[in-house]
Amino acid sequence: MNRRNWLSSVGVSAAGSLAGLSAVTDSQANRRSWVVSLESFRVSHAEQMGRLHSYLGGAFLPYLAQVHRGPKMFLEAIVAPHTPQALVVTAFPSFDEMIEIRNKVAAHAGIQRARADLESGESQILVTAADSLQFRDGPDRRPGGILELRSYHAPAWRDRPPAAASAAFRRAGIYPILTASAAGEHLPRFTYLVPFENLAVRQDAWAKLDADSEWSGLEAKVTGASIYKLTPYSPLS
Amino acid sequence: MAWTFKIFPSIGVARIGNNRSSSPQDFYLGPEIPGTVTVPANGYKDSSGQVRRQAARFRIYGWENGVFMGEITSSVANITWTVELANTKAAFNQFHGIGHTAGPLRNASVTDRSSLMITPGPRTITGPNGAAFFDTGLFMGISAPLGEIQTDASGRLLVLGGFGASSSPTNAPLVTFANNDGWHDDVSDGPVTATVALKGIKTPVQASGAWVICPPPRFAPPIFHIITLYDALLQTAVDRLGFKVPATPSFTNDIFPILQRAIRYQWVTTKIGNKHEPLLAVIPPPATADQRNFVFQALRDPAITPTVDTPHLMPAIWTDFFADVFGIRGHGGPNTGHWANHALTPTQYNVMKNWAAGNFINDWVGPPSPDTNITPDGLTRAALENCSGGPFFPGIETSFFTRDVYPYVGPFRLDGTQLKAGDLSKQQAVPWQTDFFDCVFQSPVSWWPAAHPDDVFTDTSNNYVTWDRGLNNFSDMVNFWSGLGFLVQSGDSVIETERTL
Repeated sequence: MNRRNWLSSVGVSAAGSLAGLSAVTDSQANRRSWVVSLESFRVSHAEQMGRLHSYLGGAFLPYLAQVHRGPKMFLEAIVAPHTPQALVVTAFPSFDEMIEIRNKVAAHAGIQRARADLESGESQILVTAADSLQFRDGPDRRPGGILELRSYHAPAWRDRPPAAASAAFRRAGIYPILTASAAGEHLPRFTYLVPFENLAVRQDAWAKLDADSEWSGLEAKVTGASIYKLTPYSPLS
Repeated sequence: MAWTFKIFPSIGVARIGNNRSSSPQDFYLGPEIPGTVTVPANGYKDSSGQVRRQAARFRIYGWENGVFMGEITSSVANITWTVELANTKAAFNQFHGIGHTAGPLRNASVTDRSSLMITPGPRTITGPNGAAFFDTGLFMGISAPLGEIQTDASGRLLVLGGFGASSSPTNAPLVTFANNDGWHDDVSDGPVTATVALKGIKTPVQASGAWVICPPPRFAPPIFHIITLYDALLQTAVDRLGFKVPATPSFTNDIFPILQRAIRYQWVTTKIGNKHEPLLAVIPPPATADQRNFVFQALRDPAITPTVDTPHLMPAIWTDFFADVFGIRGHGGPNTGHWANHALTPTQYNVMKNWAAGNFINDWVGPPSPDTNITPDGLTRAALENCSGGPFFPGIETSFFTRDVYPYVGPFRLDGTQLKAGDLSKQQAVPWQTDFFDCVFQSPVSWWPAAHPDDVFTDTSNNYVTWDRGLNNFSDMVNFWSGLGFLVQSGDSVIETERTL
């Protein structure tokens, strides 16, 4: 699958966006950025989640680990517009490597068999600076809790969140482990993955942010939010 | 960070059945995705021929500061559901048609009016895997259970209605289609409310409430009414709430369903037979202007006074104002051959008018496939499109009060603070079986062939047979309704199955 076909398959179809995406990702990759893929997998009924986890943890992850050494996180939605759903977050050092690895995975016969009757949901491609991706492993692994994937529309931010946004987040007790901008036609959109201890802590944090006058002046509008938990087999947290 | 929660479907439909089991394998869930038909894997009836109940499943969806977050289940929230079911038919006014609702009372001689109301009161469940029963209601001192509620493993609510048990403690005769004193049935309706407390957040929030109706079984699930309750209440939303529908209709989403419903009436009434073949000529679009106009000119304009005859115009179903045209059986004149039929809703009619004029989006790529995802609005639509939106004389699932009178807080969402349990069914026939028996083809047009098929095909015959063959009077319907067959899609045909009479 060539780049154009692959982008079409994940919903990035405008020619202008394609050119823009390529330029952004290639130049940022050279500056040690990450290209982040968010791929959701859906099933129709909660009872089928076991089968989905079996596929992701038992087939998809082992093979992905053979061909891709970069960051990988596996999440299960607990509140999201489409549930039941799992989300796979994968980071790549370059756009071309992402395509190469995803093509390898897609072509693997065992993967094809295992996912034959699973519904693939939406895919998003994000770009982030290397230090904006702070997944953990080993003894630093986060104990439980929830993770929120939250997107903002903020035209005034141009191509990256302003420092004032990060400062407001910190004042509210919000410490994203992923801060990324959307690639493709949906720019300017900014996506955060934020861990919280629980829903109450989450609620307090966002309330503090909403009450922050400096944040209010940044004119960022929430366009979507979903809440996840880590799957037991997720390599990173 | 303010959360708001809403219950969906905003009006849910649980259908009665005489299989009394509360076990999940003995009932089935009603449709949750528009355009889909629920066929229980183990049949509409159990091995002894008893009809399984159709449960209505309710879910809670959350918005945070106006941003849609998704379904809220017990994995993230403590949910407390409260449901009240009631049947107050016998204490309400006699039915004499729309516009004649001021009385007199049913059972007028009974002074203790509360003895006529089956009102077991509300039931509450907190958390998953719970159950509570509406088993304390009485009719004239006799127990009249109305069903139960359950919660599933995710904390969603299931409502199961009554058992099709209609009776008369006074052994009164069945004499009319709608108003039989001394009788009760066990259909019901009532409010569905919930409080939601996200885990770790102690203050619960009241969800925007819903309503459940528990009407008779749907014997012809593959056949949609030409005017569904969704269509009728969409019109209510347009007329009373200023709800906007697209100015230019989609052929696939708006026009094709109307044509398809009309075509598929061939499976439930011999009076249609092949008469709707001209409709096949306009699919796929665009067809010619003459072909489209031919179809449109066959439709009755809803602006025409309901009691005015429009011979041979469609749909060929009776008007809500039947009483004003003929009087009611036993109270008025004989059938004189009038053709005072029910029109499509103004919104449906405008869709067809635009189509005839060539003002439509030709988005046809074949019959639409149902969505694969359950959505909040889809839950409501799936529930309501399986109900009759007319004629309401008095109707099968609910009455014209729901369309014309009761207040709404939003499209398809009743204002539960201004209604009482039982209000949506109180004007329906008592017992339901008498009206259901009577609502067959009545020359020159039909009542609701998608609810009570007139004529059907069986798996052994290519000729029409009368669907309710063998049931000859009101009492037969009361006693043997569960023996009637269910219609299922079989290849390109719709055939009767599971008949046990």
